[in-house]
Amino acid sequence: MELGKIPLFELVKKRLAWLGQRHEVVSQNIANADTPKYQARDVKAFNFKEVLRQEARPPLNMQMTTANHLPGVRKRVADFGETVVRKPYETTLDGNSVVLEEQMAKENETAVSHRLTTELYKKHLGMIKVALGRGR
Amino acid sequence: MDDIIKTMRISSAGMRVQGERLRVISQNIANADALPQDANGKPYRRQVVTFKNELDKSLGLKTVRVNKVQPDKSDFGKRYEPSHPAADPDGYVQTPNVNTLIEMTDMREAQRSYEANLSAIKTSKAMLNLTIDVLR
Repeated sequence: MELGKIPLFELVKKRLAWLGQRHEVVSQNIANADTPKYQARDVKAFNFKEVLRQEARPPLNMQMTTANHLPGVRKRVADFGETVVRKPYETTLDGNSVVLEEQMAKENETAVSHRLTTELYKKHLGMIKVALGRGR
Repeated sequence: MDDIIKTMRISSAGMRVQGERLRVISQNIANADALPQDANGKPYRRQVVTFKNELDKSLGLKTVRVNKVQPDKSDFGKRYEPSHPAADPDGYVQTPNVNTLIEMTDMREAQRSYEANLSAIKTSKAMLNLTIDVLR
């Protein structure tokens, strides 16, 4: 039995990868909250079209033909698309479009979704355990 | 999970630059009354810190760094004090171009940005813990 083959686990895996990347982008925005000309970014919404597009993209890792080759920075198997926020809530005089409050809200949203996803994973695993007859 | 660990590095870079900014601000406040030694001398010139968004090659991510600490080009103030050793023939002494009120405002802003980065780290930690909890 392979857990990845069960649709829900596959989805949980993708969702967690997406949430991880989004958290990374939001943290980057927060870190650059005072950088001149920095534009706030966000990850494209997690939906069917985006998952399908990402699925079609080949992995971008370096080919190593000799053991002496350096692997370089490993790319994620497939990144989710990132966009510059087109209509920022506010842009300061130095061209920075990060609004800390907005980023905080996004960060919390990501954390809550992450919690939901991991709980969902645990619940489903529990259900499988019940089916196996080992109780919860 | 690797992403979330990287996220913590981004946030810590953000905290580091805000710390640097705070250092420059306290330097300005400390020297707010540094008058020249003699009539030819110049008083303390206010320093300004700027940030930039730069690629961290070991992380493979864009983090924030201190760009430059530059002098503030605005004019020095003047104070009428003929008895001062650094007074010019008209009896004026040049005073530093530091406005403590502006420095205080800047300090608050740095503090807020620092807190925002700290909260991003806390969220990262909570997310990591949830992911680890799945293994239990």
